[in-house]
This record gives sequence, C-alpha cells and structure tokens, in this order.
Amino acid sequence: MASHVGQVRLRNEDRVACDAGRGLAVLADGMGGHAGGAEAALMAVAAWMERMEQGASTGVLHEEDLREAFSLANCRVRSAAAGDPGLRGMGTTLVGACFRGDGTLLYAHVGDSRLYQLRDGVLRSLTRDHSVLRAQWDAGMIDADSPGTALLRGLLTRAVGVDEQVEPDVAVLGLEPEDIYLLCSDGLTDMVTDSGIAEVLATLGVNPPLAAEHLIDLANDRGGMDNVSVIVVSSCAATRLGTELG
Amino acid sequence: MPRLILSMDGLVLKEMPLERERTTIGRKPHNDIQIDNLAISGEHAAIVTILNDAFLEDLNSTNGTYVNGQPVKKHVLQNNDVVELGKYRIKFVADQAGAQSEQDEAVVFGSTTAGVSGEAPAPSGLPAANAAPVGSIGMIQILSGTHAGRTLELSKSLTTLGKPGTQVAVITRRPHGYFITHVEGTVFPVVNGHPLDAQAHRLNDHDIIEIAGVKMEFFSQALQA
Repeated sequence: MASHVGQVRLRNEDRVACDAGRGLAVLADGMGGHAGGAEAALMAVAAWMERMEQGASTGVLHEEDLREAFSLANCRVRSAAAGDPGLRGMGTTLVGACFRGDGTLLYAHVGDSRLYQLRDGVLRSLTRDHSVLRAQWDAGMIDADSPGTALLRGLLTRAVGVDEQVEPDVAVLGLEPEDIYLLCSDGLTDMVTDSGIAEVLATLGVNPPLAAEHLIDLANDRGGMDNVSVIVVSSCAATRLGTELG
Repeated sequence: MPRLILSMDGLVLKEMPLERERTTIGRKPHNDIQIDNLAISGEHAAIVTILNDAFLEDLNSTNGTYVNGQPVKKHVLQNNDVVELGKYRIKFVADQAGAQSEQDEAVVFGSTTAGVSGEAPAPSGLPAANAAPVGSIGMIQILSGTHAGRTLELSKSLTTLGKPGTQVAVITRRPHGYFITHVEGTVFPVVNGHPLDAQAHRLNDHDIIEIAGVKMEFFSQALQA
C-alpha cells in the first residue's frame, strides 16, 4: 500500500516541521523558560529532520534512524546549553512520525507531546506521556479528582536535552487508508478533551489544514495559555486536497 | 418507475409497475388491471402517466372512485395515495429511482460523534466549560430542495452541511459567534451571493447560505432561560 503524508497544518513554525514528500512530521514543545525552551524546540526539530532526511535519501527509514535522530537532537540541545549560560537547563519534548512507503508508521516520542490516531471513528493516543502526572496516575497514586495535580503539569520524566542519553519510546504500526493522525503539544490536550479532538478529526479530517486550525481555535477559545502546536496528517485526503488547496 | 399495490381487507393481492402511458382498471378482462367483482364497473377508472406525473380518472363508474377517502373524478396521484374502488384498495407508490436521486440531492447533515477508545485516559484537569455563545443559539432553515422548511439547531460545536465527496461546509460554534468554513469539494459555499474563500466566515442573522445547490438561512434565537 502506498502511503503519503497528507496536507499538514503548521503553527508556531519553529516547533513543527513536515516533509510531505518523505512522509515525515515532527513536533517539539520546549521547556526552560525565556529563550531556552523555544531554542531547544527549534534545534531538536531541525536535528531530527536533518537525520531523518539523510536516512531517507539512502533508502527506507528504520527504527535505528529514528533513534539516532533523537540522539542527534539531544546532542545538539545539550551542547548548545553547555556553551551558553543563558540556555542552561533547556530541554524539549519531541514526537516524530515517519509515514513509510510500505504502509507502516514508524514513530517515537519523548515527553508529553502526543501522537493520536483516529481510526473508524475511534481516537487513540499512541504515546504515553513521560510525565510525573502520568507516572503517578499509572501507579494509582492519583485519580481524576486528586487535588493539586495542576502543580505536576509539565513536570517531565524524560525530555530531550536533559541527560547524556535520551531514550525515546519507538513503535511501528500498519496504516489504513482512512486513518487520521495528530501530533500535538500539551497546549492542546490541556484544553480540549479527547472526545473534542475526536469530533474535530472525524468531521474535518478530510481537510487537515482546517482540522488543525479548528483544534487551535478550540484550545484558544477555552483560554489556552500555552502555545499550541498541532500537525494533522491524513493519508486518504492527500491527492484530493493537493489539487484543491494548491 | 411508480408502482401500484392492489389489496383487499389489508391483504396484498398484486403489485405492479405503472409502465404504460394509460393503465385501465375495471371488471372486464381487457382492462390492464382486472378486478372481477360486481362492485367494480366494466371500465371503472384509468391512470394516465405523463412524464413523472400520474393522473387518476374515474370513468363514470357506478360506485365511484375514492382517493384517501374522498370521491374523485380526476386526481393527480401523490406518493402513498390510496385509491379505493369498492372493497379494493390500490396504493400508489411514486417512482423509487426518482425518490432515490432526490435523496442524493438532499443536503446531508452530519454532526459527527466520534468515540474515544476505552484505554486509560490521560490525566488532565480539563475545564468543563462548553465553548458556546451565551444567550442565543444559531439555527439554520432550509429554503430549497427536498428538505425545504426544515430547521436545524446548531447546538454542537461542529455541524457539517452538504454532500460528502462533493461539497461539504462546516458551521463551527464559538464563544463569539458562528462561523462557516469550506471543508471539501471544488465548489465553495456561497453566502449572500458571494462565494467564500478558504477562510472562516462569521455568520450574521439572516445570511443566506448556498451549499451543494441548497439554499438555507442562518438566524439566531434567544435561549429560554
């Protein structure tokens, strides 16, 4: 099955990148305040894309390429932080997806930026947040009503640029023609419920730029404080939208 | 092709397509529909089809021809009309193929309800706020086509209008109003005679929207307290 990255919508361009031709999409949400976070996100996205495009030019992308792309991003962020006191302590989340020509999706993430799949009307998060909140949730220490969870928001258990080595969670799955994928930062998921996301993707997924725009509008309408980054990828609509939207 | 369903005492006796230009009904054997019963005249009634219309005519029968309980001499048959001759009933069912294509032309409303998988939800302290304009609700009234007269309450955050695969637009409900945006198709929605571009367009009361050949009017209605 031939598979393509469909039209994608980019916001906060410094933190997302797509290469529709190679089927690559990557999103980063920086942390570390001031200039640091944005800088880390920018570098991580650029490094990831550089490594993946290099891998794609020599053949099919493998899990090893993806791991090395995360390592390269980690190295770049760390060395920049080491060389500039103003950037010390910066880090970033990173979620990257590779829609391969053999009809499979290779993806990985670090941090609390997510990859979602909408298939047959059902929305699934394909990633598990590397956050303190998620870890406590999984351990049964907190539930939806627990007080003080807001304080834990944004505390990550893994991030790019923090440790010498970064360990992304890597996975592969088969693509279906009608699938819609969403990469997003916590600026979206903090403001819009999974059912809200599912509704938008199911209704507007045929037009990924519009779906992405509407998700951002929703987050902002609900008082989104954080930057919101989303990438919507639809494999089925690629050709049709290509002609329609130029 | 329209059909006639002949029944007596609720029992269907015969079902036949209305394929002739003129279909006669009577007791005598030369009729297209022969009903061998003394209450039926030799030449009782006829149905003449011209293009998509079917005309029923009573041929001066002794006991008369009734449609939906009313005696008629001449009558244009409507879908599901019941023609009565004596104890016999003939139900007229309009062209199904025609009805089908009419269906295809109809505007399809879709407010998608997408499910969420049952896996453990990620924790988050989501605001329960329902992002919607306060105090009033937007409505759409269909002005043309099969559903003319029908109104639709824009209570969901997303309401899609149009024909999937041909032309679809979405009306989004946001805190500061309702917006219409083109979703798919080569033809864009027309608002008050002007085609939209790819941008969302804010709707004002009594805007006339045209999607997939169907005209509709947007208006807002005060919510009951």
